[in-house]
Amino acid sequence: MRTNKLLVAALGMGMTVGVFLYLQSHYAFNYFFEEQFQLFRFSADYAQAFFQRIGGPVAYLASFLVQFFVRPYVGAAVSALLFAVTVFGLRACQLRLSGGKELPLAYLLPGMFFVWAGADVNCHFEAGLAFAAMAWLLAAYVRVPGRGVRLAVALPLSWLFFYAAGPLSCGLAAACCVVELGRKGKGRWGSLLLLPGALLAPLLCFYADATDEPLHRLLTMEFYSNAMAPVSVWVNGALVAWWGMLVLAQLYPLCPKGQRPWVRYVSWGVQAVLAAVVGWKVGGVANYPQNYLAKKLDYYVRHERWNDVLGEQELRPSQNLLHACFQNLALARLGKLSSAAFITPQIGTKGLWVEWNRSAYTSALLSEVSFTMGNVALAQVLAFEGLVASERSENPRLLLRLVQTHLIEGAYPVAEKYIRFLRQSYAYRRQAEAYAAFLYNDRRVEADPVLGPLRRCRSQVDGLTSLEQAPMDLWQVMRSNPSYRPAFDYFAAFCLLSRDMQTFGQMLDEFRTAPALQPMPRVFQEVAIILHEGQPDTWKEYGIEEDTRQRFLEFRKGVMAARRNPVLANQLRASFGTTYWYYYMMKK
Amino acid sequence: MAGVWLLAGLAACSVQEPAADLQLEEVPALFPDYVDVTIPATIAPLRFRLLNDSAEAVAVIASEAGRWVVKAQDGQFLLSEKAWKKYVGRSAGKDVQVTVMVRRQDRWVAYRSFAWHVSTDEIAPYLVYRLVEPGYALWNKMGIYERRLDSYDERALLVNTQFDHNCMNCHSFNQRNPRQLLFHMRTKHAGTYFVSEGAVKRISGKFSERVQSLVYPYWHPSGRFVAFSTNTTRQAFHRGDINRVEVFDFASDVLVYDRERDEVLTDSAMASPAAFETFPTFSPDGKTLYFCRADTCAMPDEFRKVKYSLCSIGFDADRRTFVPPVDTLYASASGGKSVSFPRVSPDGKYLVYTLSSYGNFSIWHKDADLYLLDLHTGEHRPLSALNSDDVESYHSWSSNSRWMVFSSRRSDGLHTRPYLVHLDEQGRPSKPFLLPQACPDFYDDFRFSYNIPELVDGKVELDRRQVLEASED
Repeated sequence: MRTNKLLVAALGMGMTVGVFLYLQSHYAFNYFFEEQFQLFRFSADYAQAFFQRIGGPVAYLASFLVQFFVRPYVGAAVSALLFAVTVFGLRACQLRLSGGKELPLAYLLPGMFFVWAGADVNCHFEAGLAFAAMAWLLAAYVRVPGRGVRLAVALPLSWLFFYAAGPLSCGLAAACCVVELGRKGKGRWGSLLLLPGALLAPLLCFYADATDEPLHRLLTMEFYSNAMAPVSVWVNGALVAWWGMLVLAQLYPLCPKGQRPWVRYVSWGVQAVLAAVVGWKVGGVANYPQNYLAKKLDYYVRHERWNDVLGEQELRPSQNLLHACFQNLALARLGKLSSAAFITPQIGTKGLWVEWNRSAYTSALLSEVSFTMGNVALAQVLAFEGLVASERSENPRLLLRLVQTHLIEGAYPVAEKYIRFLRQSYAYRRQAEAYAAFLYNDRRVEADPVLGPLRRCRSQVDGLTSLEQAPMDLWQVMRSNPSYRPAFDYFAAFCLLSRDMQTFGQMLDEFRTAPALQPMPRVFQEVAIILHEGQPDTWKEYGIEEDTRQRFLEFRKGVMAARRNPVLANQLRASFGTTYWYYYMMKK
Repeated sequence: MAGVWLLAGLAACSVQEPAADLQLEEVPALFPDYVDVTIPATIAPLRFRLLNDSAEAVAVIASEAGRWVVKAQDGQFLLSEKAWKKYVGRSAGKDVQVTVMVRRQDRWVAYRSFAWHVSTDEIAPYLVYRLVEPGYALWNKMGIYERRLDSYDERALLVNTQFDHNCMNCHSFNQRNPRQLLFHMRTKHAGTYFVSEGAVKRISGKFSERVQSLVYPYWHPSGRFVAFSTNTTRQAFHRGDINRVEVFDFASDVLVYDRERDEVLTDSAMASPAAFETFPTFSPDGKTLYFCRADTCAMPDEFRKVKYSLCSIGFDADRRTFVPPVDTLYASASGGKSVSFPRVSPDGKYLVYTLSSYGNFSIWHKDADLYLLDLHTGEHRPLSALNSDDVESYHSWSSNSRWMVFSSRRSDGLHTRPYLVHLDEQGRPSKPFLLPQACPDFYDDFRFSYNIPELVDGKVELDRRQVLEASED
């Protein structure tokens, strides 16, 4: 079927826009998440490192493109465009092999795997680029007249492709074999030599120690996945679909001829709709909701959109430790943690400081929490661990955190090094330039509204710590900088959620005149009353206001009344449910 | 790399030496600092850049072979290897004068000349080190690499990407012999790997309940024995100290592994529950085993109280026994500091060690410095020419005892870099110099640390495939 070129172009554009809209609405946060694990640098040594390795050129292009995913819409747009390019390349192959007959499902399906792969950060973006290149190379190959010329070109082409894009070169060589075997004429069986010929490239590279990759990654699609994670299935799935297309295209000319045009149009339409349905369904499965939410929360934290964290409908802080940690971090940054900790859904104190699982994700989150707590040492340790845990040891977000912590500590040469990296990037250059102004300038650091207070949080810290001791470290932070409210908020939250009144009382006794507690926050007053209920004369020393005192008296009356008449319990909750008194006495 | 070579080639083209309009008293500020250093004749060119000047500049290198004028490219002097060999490489025993001139407002200003003292003492042809990010509990890519010192060529011997991203460390050569070495792998494919005359053998390192893995190694010159420590190590972080990380032992002992019998030998003097013993090292004749020893303390609370003395005990290789008594060469109780990484020069005259205020993981102690003990006179003295305000730690000797390589974090306080230094027969060091690279800016962007730098007398013979096979056994 020779379709009108204009129609094809229009349909292609429509398809691209449709895919873009789908990705933007369902996959947007995947692209933001993926971007933070690469730092494309405009420098000769960065480029050199790519071009000196197998698959480097395509990986370099991928890194170049992914850097722009930090901008809204770009990830979806680039992925949609890549899908369109792949589809048209595959279509060009398929039409040639099938004698001009359209098989939309066959040429749409392989590209869809790379759309779905957008949800899997362990599947490298260059896999999709390499696949698209392979499709177009084959499309060009099948148009070369003369088997002799084609075969002469195929082997060096596969080697060049191996260098440029990795082991998909073997897929290309195998596809060339399939093409030749499907065409009659002399020499077609000789094309089978392409397969061992293509394998020579990875084998030679490995045995000549020309690569640091293990052999199995040079020969399989594992090459396109994170080596430290389970193998991503998308590239293998695309290859299977690719083979399916090639075989079908070769077999299609055998189908009965003379179909009426309307049959062909209906078939085309049905296949296209089927592809869209499959794309939608599998896309939903690939974009696992819990993972997607985790990426969304990560994005909000990264951009300090605390109200968006709290407003997230799917947040389950009473069931999920990570969700609780995100919620509490947002509350702390909004200055509401101590007052809201016990009235928001919680999962206990572990929701304030989750256990570190050695992943880049948790490292970044805990670094953020430590930074908020005023614990610069742990914020730095975790930022570094997160950087190292990132697949390529690249993570601009954590590099920025390292810049901050090193500036705070006065370790200017190291901060300068990290600033130099970031200055070579597109998306982080401005932030790096801004931080460069702090180098070797203690006064400027101390005057900064973010860095200055955190430097003061270190003024009296001493001794050794570990990740498990983060809550205990708050004592030293509070002593170092009694004006730093978030440290008090976190400390209070630990005590309040665990009902540890004794420790809270010790803190109050030591810090009741601290600037961070002037005026004494309402919930602190409430706890002070609990601790000294029978000593109203001492309440003034803790800054308990008259309002609070009156309210407590009313609460006490209400408790007495509710004990006599349980129907009044609801009234008590309505009137005093947001107080710590209610939480401490009435909630289990 | 191609760009660097092109620029180097351009730099080698004939350049006119300008006449100086003004002579300055000071030497130029360079990075790396190659002013007045002593170098071996076979070292790769010392490429450097000007720190404070970005103007047009030339360097005039004057030796007996003539005057070589090199033009700077963006402030970088990319000295060509061919010209270097002619003008510097053939100047052994002599000084090469270097004059840097910069053009300021149409006038040529000459800095005071400095010298490269080209030693007649040869240096080992290769340097082997591990490249690893200066991290804490996690790691990513790491590997053991070999660098030719007469060029910029670096070759990966083992990279953990081929071993499931495991940890590999503590490579050690028998008296700098490239055909006999060992290293450890941790987590996956764990064990100690011995490479000897082309064969690879892996042992688990588990010999008893107390000996579950082998750590710091040192070969006996016979090649039959290897001294190891066995350590139970923990890590914690400083809340506010500039040293940021603290690594300490909860327990450690020293033992000697007999490769022929696959047995460990030990002695109560080196395996006492009341002491931490670590960092064993043999004398070049194999008759003395040096090690570090500290009284145990309540860890981690008393980590600052742990101070290691430098001790020695005799070793009889034929009888496979230790020969008491234990001598103390540096007593931490009276000296007040802590010893780590003792290393005896191959001629047996000197022992260089790292000294810091406490503890043993000195790479994280900014006050760690290098000291020299004259084994004949018993005199201790700091190697002041080598030391800086930051860490100087691990070190190793060349076979002729005239060169050393040591680790230092002086460049930025975090990333460890290898420095080479010449010592004369009296153990007096000259000014050390940073391992040269093809691009003077290389270290600015390089995020890996050079760990355990070892001078080696030849190209390392190590077949990765054999290591892979041994790792899968």
